[in-house]
Amino acid sequence: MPSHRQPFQYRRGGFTLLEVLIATAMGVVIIGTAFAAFRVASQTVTIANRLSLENAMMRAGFSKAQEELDFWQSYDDPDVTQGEKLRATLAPASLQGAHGLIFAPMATLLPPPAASTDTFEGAQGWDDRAWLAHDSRSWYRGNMAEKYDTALIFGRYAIFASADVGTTAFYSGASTAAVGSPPAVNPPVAPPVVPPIPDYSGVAVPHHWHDRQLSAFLRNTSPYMLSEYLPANTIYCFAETFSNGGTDRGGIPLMSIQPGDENSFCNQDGGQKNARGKYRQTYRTTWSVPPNDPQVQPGGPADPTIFSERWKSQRRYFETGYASTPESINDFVQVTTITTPVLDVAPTHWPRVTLSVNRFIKNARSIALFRLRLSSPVTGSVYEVCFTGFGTTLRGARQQRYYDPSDASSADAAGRRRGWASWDDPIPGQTPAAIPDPTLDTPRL
Amino acid sequence: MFHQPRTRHGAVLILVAGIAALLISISLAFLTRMRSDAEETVVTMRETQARLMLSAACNYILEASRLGWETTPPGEQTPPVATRPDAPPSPHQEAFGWIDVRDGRIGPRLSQGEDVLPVSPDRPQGDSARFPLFTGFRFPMYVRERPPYAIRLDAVYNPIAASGPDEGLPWLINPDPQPQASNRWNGGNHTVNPTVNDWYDYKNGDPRPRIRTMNRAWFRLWRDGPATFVVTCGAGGTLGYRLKDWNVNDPVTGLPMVDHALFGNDYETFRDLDAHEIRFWYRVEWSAAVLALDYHNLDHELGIDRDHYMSWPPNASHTWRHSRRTQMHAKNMVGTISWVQRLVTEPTNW
Repeated sequence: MPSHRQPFQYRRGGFTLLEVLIATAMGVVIIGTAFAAFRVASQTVTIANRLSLENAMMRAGFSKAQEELDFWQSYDDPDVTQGEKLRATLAPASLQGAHGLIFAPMATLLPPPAASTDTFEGAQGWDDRAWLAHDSRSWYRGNMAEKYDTALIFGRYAIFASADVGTTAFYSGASTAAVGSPPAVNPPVAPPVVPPIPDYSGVAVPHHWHDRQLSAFLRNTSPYMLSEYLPANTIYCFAETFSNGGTDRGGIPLMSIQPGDENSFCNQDGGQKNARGKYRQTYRTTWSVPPNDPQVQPGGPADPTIFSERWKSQRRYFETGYASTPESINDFVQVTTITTPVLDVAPTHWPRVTLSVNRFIKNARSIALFRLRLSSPVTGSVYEVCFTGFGTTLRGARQQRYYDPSDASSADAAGRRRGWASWDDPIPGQTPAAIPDPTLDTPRL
Repeated sequence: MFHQPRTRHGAVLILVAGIAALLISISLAFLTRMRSDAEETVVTMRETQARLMLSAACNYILEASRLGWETTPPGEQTPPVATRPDAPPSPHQEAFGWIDVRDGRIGPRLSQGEDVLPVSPDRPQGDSARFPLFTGFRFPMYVRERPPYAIRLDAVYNPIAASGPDEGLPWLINPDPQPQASNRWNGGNHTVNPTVNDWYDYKNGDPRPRIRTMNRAWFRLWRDGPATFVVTCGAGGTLGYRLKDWNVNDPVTGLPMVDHALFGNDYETFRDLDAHEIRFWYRVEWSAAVLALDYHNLDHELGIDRDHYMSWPPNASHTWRHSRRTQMHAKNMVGTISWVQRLVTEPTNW
């Protein structure tokens, strides 16, 4: 019996070819299934990680947007060398003071107070306590209904208010030169008939403060800054001494009423020459804050030529309303957008997230528009989240920034301390007393 | 004969267990990652909630510049009218700004120029006593169960005559909209018979906070100047109470500045809530200025080439007489916020 069983046991210990083939096939199936399962598992984990990373990057971008919303560091970063990109001023002789970019110190923009004229109506320079509704200095005394080339059909408002103290001269009617020209309208209209105008010489003009403020702000700052500093109901118009080609016959500077090209203060809405406020100026068009390239060259002084061009771009309006075209919208986006990466350095396979910011005024509303754009180098997918925010305004941002040209305690090459201004609010008499740091808006430095 | 089946069962078990473990591990990894993401998003969410408070605070500053002031001073107001249906409603008065637009005095003051609250020995601030300089108030935000004057969102059906002389005409016999509170409307005979209490219930709403909206966000205002305020925006569970006030009593009432009972009389609980809270500090300035009426002051579409003094009503919007009209161009009659400044550091008072 054993001799019969031994061969049988030996056969049971081996495999037939068929068994091997079946076992091999099953093994391949099992291994393949397991491999596929592990591969799926691996991909799932990878995708979960990637999605998580994308979420984290978007959260980081959102946080960066909130910081940007409140601190304007893409426009002016006092923590970084060469970060103060929009502080330049230029002072041609033809203007009262300097004109400058949106972070130029206020003391360099508006004419400094003069002792002889620093009175209630004669005061000039920036005063953050002024522009109150009850203060008669701040009232506009012109005629908002006046349009086209004035024939003084509503009077001569420069006899009530003028930017010039004691030297206001009126159009006497002696000059027959055309003053401006009527804008193109449809149907065409004849130029207005100019009646003889009596000479008002000798009239003492009682009000100056409003017109001096307007003159200084209009000429020396950008529209975006102008609209953030002056009250929401400001009419951007004033009167001054008549000058042929510079003002209309009523002494109103053409720059504040005459529709012009994109380098003009007035847009072409309606084609009318009239006094305007914030809504009218931003209804058809948009005022914005073009960042452009750093104006202050490393190691060198400001280049006036470059600055002049940048100043124009600061003042220009952008066609974004009913007269806009795809080209004008592209122009607006390209010129006014600041795009920065959320992470400066990251592995190449990480998603790339960029944050874009546009700050502009449209329909009298200040808008900070953010676009958070994520592109995946792995999948090629791109998506974008757009949102607006309510935070620090330009004036608030300027009040955040330390500025004192006489402070050499930690001065930079330009002789002033960088950084952020501290502010505190102890109750009067409370110790320690609050001593707010000087800022870009401190008027009399 | 029994070894091979057991081996196969074991192999199947191993396979099933392995695949199950694989699926479980994948699921766990996914869930863990998602939970981690969600936890990290909490910070973003709270930051967003805190920022929403800036808008809420500015809205309060704008509206309170002119609206909502009672003639009776704080602490002397009549009890809630819901408990006293016979009590006359406390009149609201129109005021003229944090800085009065008429004479520049500190406000808000009433229409005749008198003080909202007359100066008295215990109220030396006079007209600014409702919100005196160098004082702060706390505004915990939540959603009420039912706001005042709430109406139902569903439409109330009114029958249309199917015959007779009124055929096709709607019988507007059922009031629409209906109040969210009861007015004892009987749809059967088309009658409403509200009681005095029903009216006050409708008028006052249900002031109880909805539980799920509590302890999320708040703001505080500190009036540091006639028209400037320090705004503290918070997201968390402190309800706007300050940690440094835990052991401080109100100098006027003598009561603790922090309602300890709201936090279980436990300082550590309150401190923990404070530590996990997000707070931002801003400074804002109110201005009486509203938007200029420049666009509507000219009718330039009359087809007549001359100037006019015709002025469109502020809310008539576009001047296209023969075409469309749109909503008004936001003449904000409660003033504007001149500027907003995020404070770099925490101020002493807020």
